[in-house]
Amino acid sequence: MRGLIRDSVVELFDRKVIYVFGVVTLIAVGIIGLLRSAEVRLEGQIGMDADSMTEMFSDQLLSGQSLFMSILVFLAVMAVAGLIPNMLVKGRADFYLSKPISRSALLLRKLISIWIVYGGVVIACGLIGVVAFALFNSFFSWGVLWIFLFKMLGLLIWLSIVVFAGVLSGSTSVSIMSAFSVYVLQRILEWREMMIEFLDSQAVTFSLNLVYYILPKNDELSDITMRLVEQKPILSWMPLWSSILFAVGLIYITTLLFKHRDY
Amino acid sequence: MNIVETHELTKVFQPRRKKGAVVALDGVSLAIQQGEIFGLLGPNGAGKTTFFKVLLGITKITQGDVLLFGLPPDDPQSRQKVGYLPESHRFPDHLTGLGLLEFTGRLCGMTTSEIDARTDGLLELVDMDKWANVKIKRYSKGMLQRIGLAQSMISDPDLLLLDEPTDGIDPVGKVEIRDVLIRIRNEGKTIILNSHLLSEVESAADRVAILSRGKVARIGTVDELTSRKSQFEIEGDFASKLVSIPEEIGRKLSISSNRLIVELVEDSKINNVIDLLRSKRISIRAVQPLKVSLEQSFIETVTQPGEKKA
Ligand SMILES: Nc1ncnc2c1ncn2[C@@H]1O[C@H](COP(=O)(O)OP(=O)(O)OP(=O)(O)O)[C@@H](O)[C@H]1O
Ligand SMILES: [Mg+2]
Repeated sequence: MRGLIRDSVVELFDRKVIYVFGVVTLIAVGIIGLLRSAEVRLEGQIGMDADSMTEMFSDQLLSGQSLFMSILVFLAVMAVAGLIPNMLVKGRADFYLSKPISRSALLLRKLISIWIVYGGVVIACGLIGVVAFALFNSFFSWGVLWIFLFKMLGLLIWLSIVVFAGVLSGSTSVSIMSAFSVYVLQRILEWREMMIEFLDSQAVTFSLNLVYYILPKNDELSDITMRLVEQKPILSWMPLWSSILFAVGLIYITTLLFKHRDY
Repeated sequence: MNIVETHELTKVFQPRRKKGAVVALDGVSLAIQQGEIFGLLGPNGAGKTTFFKVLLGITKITQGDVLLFGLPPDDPQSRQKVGYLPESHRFPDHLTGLGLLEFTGRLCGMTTSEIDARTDGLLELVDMDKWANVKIKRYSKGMLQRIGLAQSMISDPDLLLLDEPTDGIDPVGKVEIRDVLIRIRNEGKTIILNSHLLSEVESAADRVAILSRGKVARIGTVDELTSRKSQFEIEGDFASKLVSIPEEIGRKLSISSNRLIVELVEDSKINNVIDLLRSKRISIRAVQPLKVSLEQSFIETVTQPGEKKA
C-alpha cells in the first residue's frame, strides 16, 4: 500500500498536474482577496463595516468555498482518468500483474492510493482557500469540515466511474467521456419530474426513476453539505446513501471485471 | 521437485466476433525442475510469451492445468518467489531506475531494509549504478533491458522468467548476462529463458523446448537436440577403398577420402560398421555421433510442423 501511495505521489509530480492545482488555487486566493477589497470599498458607501458584511454573507462565503472545492474535484477527476488505463497498457500490465498480489487487491490499493493522494491535494488546496478567508476576511467556520468530507466522497464517486471505464475500455478518453456522460445525465435528470408529468408514460416514468435512483447524486450531495454547514435539517438522506451504494457497487463490479481479463 | 508443471495447457484467444480464434498454446505439457536453465524456443507467434503470461496468471487458461511451486496461477502466492522480465516492457516511466527497484520490491511485499540490502548489488550487477537516479524515460533500449533484469531479481526469486532478456543489449553485456544466469542457476535457482538467440540458449540452457504453433515440437537437453539420431561420423583413411553398408545395418550418407557419414537402423549397429571397416583394413581415427548446430535443429523442427521427433 505504501509503495503504491508513494508511486502515486511521484506520478502526480511527474505529470505536472500539481501545477494546475497550484494555479487554480492562486486564482481562488486572488478572488478572495478582491472580495475583501470590495467589502472595504462598500464600507463607506452603505455604512456597514466590512466584518459585519462578512458575517452577513457567511453562507455565501461557504458556498464559494464549496464551489472552489468542486472545481478542484473536477480537476482531480480529469487528472486521474488516465491513471488506470496507463497502468494497463501492454507491457506495463505485465509488470503489475506478475507480482504476488491478487488482482482485486491491486486494483483496490491503486484506487485508494489515488483517492488519498489526489484527495489530499484537493484538501490541501481547499485549506489554502480557508486560510485565505481567515486572513483576508477574518472568516472561519467549522462548517468547512463538512465540505471537506463531502468533497472527498464526491471524488470517490467520480473515481469509481473513471476506474470502471478505465478497466473496461483501457482508454483515457473513454474514462473522461464516461464521467462527463454521467454528469450530463445528472443534469438531464434534474428535469425528471417535469418530464414524467409531460410525457405521462409508465415506461418513461419507470426508466427515468430507475436511472435516477441508480446514479450518484452529486448535486443533492452539495445541498446536503450546505444544509449541514448551515445546521439546517436534512430533508432526505437518500441521495447520500444511494450515491455511496453506487460507488461501492461499481468498484465491486470493476474488481470482478478486472479479475477475469486477459492482458 | 518440479517448479513449473503444466498439463495439456491450452490457450485460445477468442476475439469478440466469433471468427478468427487464435490457438496460442495447444496441449502443452511441461515439467521444469529446480536448478535448471530451461530454454524456450520457437518462431514468432509460437506462443512463448503466452506461456509465460499463463504461468503468471496475466492471461487466463482456456483448458488444462498449470502449477507454479505447486500452486495454480489464481493464487497470488504462486508468484511470491518469481521474477519476471516481460517482453517489450514499459515500466512505470515516472520512476528512476532505483525507484523502479524499490517499487517492485514493495509490490513483492518486501520491507525497506530488505529492499535497500539488494538494490546496490543489483544495480552493479547490471552495470546501471551510474544511471540509478535518472528517470526511466531517459534510458536507452539496452539500459531499459538492464534495469528490467535487475527488477526481476529484486526479491531474490527462486524462479526467473525472462522473455528475450538480451534483446537490445550490446555483445559484452550479453556475455555478462549469460554468466550471471549461469551463476544464479548454480545457486539452485530455476530460469526459464525465452530467446531468439540460439547460440545464447545453446551455451546457457540445460534443457530446451521448441514450440511451434502452440505445440511442443521437440524437447530435450541441448545435446539431445543437436545430435542426429543414429547418425555417425567416422574419420579414417577411406581413399580408394570401396565401402558399402548392408541394408539391414543402415546406409551411407556421404563419403570422402577421410570421412564417412552413416545413418544406422539403430545406434548399436555402429559396432557392425566398425567390424566391417576393420575387415577391409581401413584404419579408423575417430567415431562420433553426428552433431548439428541448435540452429540447424531448430530450423528443421519448425519447418516440419506437427511432426514429433524424439
Ligand atoms: N492478447 C492477445 N489477443 C489475441 N491474440 C493474441 C494475444 N496475445 C497473443 N496472441 C496470439 O497468440 C499467438 C502467440 O503469441 P506469443 O506472443 O505468445 O508469441 P511468441 O512466441 O512470444 O512470439 P515472439 O517470438 O514474436 O515474441 C500469436 O498468434 C498471437 O497473435
Ligand atoms: Mg514473445
